[in-house]
Parts: sequence; C-alpha cells; structure tokens
Amino acid sequence: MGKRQRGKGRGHGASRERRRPEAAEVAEAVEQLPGGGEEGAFAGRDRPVRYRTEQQDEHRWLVPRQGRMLAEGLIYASPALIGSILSDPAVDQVANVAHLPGLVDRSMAMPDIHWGYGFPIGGVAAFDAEEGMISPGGVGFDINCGVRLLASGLQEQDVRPRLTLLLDALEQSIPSGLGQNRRDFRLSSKDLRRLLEEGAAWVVRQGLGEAADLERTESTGRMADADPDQVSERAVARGLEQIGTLGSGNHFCEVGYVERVLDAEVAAVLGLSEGQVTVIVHTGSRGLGYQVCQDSLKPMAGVSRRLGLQLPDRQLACAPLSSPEGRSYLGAMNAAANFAYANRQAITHWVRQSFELGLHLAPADHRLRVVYDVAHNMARLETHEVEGKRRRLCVHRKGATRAFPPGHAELPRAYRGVGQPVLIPGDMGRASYVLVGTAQAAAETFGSVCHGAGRRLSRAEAVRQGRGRDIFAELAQAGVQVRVHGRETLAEEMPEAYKDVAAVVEAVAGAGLARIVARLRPIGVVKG
Amino acid sequence: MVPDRAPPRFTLPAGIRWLEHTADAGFAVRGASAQEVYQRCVAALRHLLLGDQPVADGLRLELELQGQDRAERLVALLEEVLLRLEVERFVTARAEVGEDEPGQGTLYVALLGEHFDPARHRQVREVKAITYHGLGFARRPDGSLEATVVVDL
Repeated sequence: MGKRQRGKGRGHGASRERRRPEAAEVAEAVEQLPGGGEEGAFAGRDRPVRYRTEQQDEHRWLVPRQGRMLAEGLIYASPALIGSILSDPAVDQVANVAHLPGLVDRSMAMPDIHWGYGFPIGGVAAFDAEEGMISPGGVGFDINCGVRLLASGLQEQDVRPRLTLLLDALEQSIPSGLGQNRRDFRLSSKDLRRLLEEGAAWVVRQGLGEAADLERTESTGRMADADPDQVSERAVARGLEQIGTLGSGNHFCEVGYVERVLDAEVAAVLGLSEGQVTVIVHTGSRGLGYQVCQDSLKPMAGVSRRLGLQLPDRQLACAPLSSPEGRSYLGAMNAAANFAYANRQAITHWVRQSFELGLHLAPADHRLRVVYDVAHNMARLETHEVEGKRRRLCVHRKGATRAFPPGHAELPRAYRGVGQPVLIPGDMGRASYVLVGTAQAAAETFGSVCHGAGRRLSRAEAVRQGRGRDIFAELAQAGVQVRVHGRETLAEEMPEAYKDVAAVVEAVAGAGLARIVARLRPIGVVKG
Repeated sequence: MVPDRAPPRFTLPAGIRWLEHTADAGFAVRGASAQEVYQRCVAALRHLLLGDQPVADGLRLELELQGQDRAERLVALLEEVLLRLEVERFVTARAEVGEDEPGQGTLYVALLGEHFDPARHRQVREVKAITYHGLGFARRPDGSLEATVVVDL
C-alpha cells in the first residue's frame, strides 16, 4: 500500500404485476407518501450544520477537531457539489464518526456523501484491528450492498429493437417484492449455512454461473472469516427465501451500453469497448443482512454503555474488535457479505438466462461475462501503511467502494496492472461510470472512493417534485425503458433525486483518487 | 382469515409527524401516554409499508419484548412488525401495548392483523430496518411523550 500523507493541499492527506402506472396513479402515490400526518421536518434537517469546515483545496474540505471530536474529518467534493453537502446533516455525521475511540487518521467522506444513519453515506473510517472498534453503523443494514457489471458480445443496436422482450424476461426471472422468489431455487437451512460459508462459489457449484465469474469478483465472492454460527435464526428465516432476489428501493438491474471510453488502455484490459451492451446488478444481502445488523445493535449499545462512550448518535454504537460482541458481529457480517456475493451471482445466472430466453440467443452469442463485482457497504480487515508503519486496520466503508491501486495483491491477476475496478451506478436516466483505483487513494483514503451519485433530494421531496409529471414518459423520451414494481419507487427514485454522477466521479478523479475509464448509458431498467 | 366485512381504509391517528430525511424516512409521534406513543408508532410504520390499504385485525399475535429503555423497546416492537410481515406474511393492522413498569421492564404487545393476501394487499415500499439514528422516547415540557424513529429504506 502507499504511504499515508497528511497536510494541506492537493495530494496530501487529507404482486408480480408490473404494468406501467398511469400518471394519475403516480400522482395518487405522491399524495400517499407518507401522507396523512402533520407536515413537518426532522429537527436534524431544520437545524444548521453544527460543525465548521475549512476548504483545503479544490477537492478537499477539512472538518477541524471541535468539541469532543478525537480526530479531524475530511470531505472530498468539488466547488459544484460542496454547496449542497455543507447544508446537509451528513457533515455533522462526519464529525460524529470522529468521536469514536481508536479512529486512525481521519473520518472521511466521498463526494456522494449524504445524510445516513450513524455514519454518513459515503463515509470511510478505519480503526486499529487490535485496539480499535467495529461499528455496524459504519457498514449499514444492507451488508455488502454492491454492484456487479457484466459485459456482453452484443452491440446496442442488437438489443435496443428487442429491449421490451429482454426486460420482460428479466422481470420474470429476477424476483423482487414481498414474498417473491424463484420456485426452482429453494434453499434448505443446511444449504444456506454452506452458502454463508462459501459465498458465490456455492451458487456456482449449483450450476448458476462459471468459475471465471468468481475470479472477477472482489475477494472471489467469499469472505473467509464468515461465521454462520453468529447469524441468528431470525436472519436465517429472512434469508432463506431471498437468495437471487433484487429487493426494492434503489436496487436495480440495468441494461445499458458503453457510451464513451475515456481511458482506452484500461478499458481494453477490462474488456470494454464503445457500443458494447452491459448489465449492472445493484443489490446486497437482503433481509438476512438487515437482520444481522439489527441483531448487533442492542449488544453493541450495551458495550458502548459499559465502556462509558459518549456517542453523539446511538447508531454509532460500537465494540472493540477484540471483544466477544465485536468478533460476533464481524463473523456474522462476513457471512451476510457472502450471502450478498451469492445473491448477485444467482442473479447473474438469471440475467444470462433472460438474454437466452428473451432474445433467443445462445451463450456463445451474448457472451455475457463478469467484468467485476464490488461491495460498497463493508468493514474489512486490511493492511495499510500509516505514518511509515504497516498496520492492520478494520476499514469501514459505508456507501464507499474499495479502490486499490495497480499492483495490489488482492486484485484479480488480469486487473493487477490497472488497479481495482470501481463501479459507480448513477441514476436511472443519466449514466454510470467505471473507474479504477490509484496509489493516491491508497495513500489518502485507505484505498477508497465514492459508490454512486448520492441522493440530493429526500424521498418526500422527490415525490413532491414528481407530482403531476409522467416520469415514465420522460425517461422513455431520454431513451430509457423502466419497469418498476411499485409506483411509489419511481417517484422516489427519479433522476433528479440524485446528484449528477458525472460531477461526483470528476470530483474523485480531480482529487486523484481514481481514473475514469468509461461512461455507460442505461437503456432499460428493472427496479424492485 | 377472511373478515365478515371488508375492513375500512386505514386512517393515520393524530400525533404523527413525518420527518424529512435525505435517504430514508422517519416519524415523530406524540401521545398522552407511552402506550399511545407505541401504538401510534406501529400505525406510522404500517402506513409506510402499506399506505392506507385496509387490513383486517382478526388474528392476534402476543409478544413480550425487552429493552434497556423505552426507545430500545420501541425498536424491538417495530422490528417485530417488519419481521412478521417478511417471514410469516403477517400484516399488522394495529397494536395493543402495555408496559409493566414505566421506563423499565417488559413490553406486553398484541399485534392484530391478518395474513398477507396478494389479491388484496400490496407492499408499498420495503423498510429494511429500524435504526437507532435519532432515536428518542422522552417526556415533553407539556407532560406528553414523544418518540422519534428513522427507518432504513
């Protein structure tokens, strides 16, 4: 890993029914969200941001130590993005993370930062593996929520005329919504236990995928420290029927194409070329992961109380990594991460099947292969150089992606010369990006960058702004067909609800944390 | 269980205020008693999950829930509503709640509802979990009680 740097200035440390809703129905949904109660705003959003910031350079804003902060905070952004960031309670959350004991270096946030729970979304924080903490709030409920990119041997013009058939097949093949699952892929408790130990490899052994898929998956789709014994019966009950399901909210399966190659050398290594059809799968560990996090909160709160930690937010509850509670969470979290890798692997199989059934193509025709699969909600034990010493750290990335530099031993052999691929989905109307990590990221951010566009509007505000509009028609006009399970989701997830992903990736590239490789354009989106 | 008469569409009780949150959703709930606050919080969560769809209350699930304080017990209660829906397909119409000792001890809960019927019910949105972020359950200067909850969407 690169040597960590500190100081000012650039380069320094700093029901399966999915018919299209009518406009009137969308308007009705708007009225129902959440509706009925008194109008009002959360005190946290009403209140001015408490913590002072100082601009360091064009892409770095420092949150100096204030009050009971034990370390500084650092926000990566750009002049175009910083205005909305500095008025969001997420800034206070960057400072809140800096209250946790054992934090190494700084509490950091990426340009897609927005208000989350406990840690901000877009947050990065590292703790010493021996003496530091682990916090479920630094991972999030959707453990190993992540993104998988598939590239095909097809061109945009091969698919666009038959896109409706393909989206029909994807909708039929990939379950989403309450109680929806594959009738032909059921797990016993014993199966699930093996899946929690083995991750994506277990799914491949059932015939859903290829060994090559695993080679192009971060950690080969398996966290070795997974401990299924730490996963509660409740979590197992939630997970049993959810393998291979998309979920809802911002999770999706998107068909698109490579609109522009921006780094030809790296794109060639990743096997990306202009016009090529791609598929992005964005989902995570589903109910199993949510429950693992939920189960951990009460014991973690107990440890925090016992240690006398004065936490500014209960969701920051944490425990020493070396404690029974810390070890238990780490084992369960890794098991949930394996569920997520397996989930995206199973969906990959059904994406391939959808191309075959929907478009009547043979595998040799579509040639869908995994480009990469990367998590953006995880805490991982990693070795980094800090002030000249190699240290074992637990790096929390919540809405942040690992972005190791060229040459890192944990990268797939094929990508070792170019750096870790970073997959940045945008909103469903604009674009997504492929980046690679840099030595600068290793030096400054424990090898981390952004994870997406980041929300700009609250869900309620998005719904208000969507009132009276036909968002389906607007997206169709922009060349994107959308299938969505719930009409409420469409309004909440409309493009304007998100920051411009181009501005976000330009900010991380401007800070030197990543290289931009390619821009992908969506043409069809299936959302849960 | 099929009710004798179709249940009415759901109306939110008074005292619920929706909270603006960038990525998730939240609510602040006031009541004259802790019991009323707990019950109204269940109503708010039910509305997030199902909107104003009618849900019959012919089935009864009785639970005892523990937590360090009222806020923790509130999370436990709302978590039950989520879990029962996801795992057992039990849709909560409303809750009856009692506490043994104010501010400590056990929460005695009855969730009243029915089995999820895809012909009559549609889940409006998935609520992933009940967070501890901004969690509160406190007495106000006017003597009423208020809870704040943020849920992960």
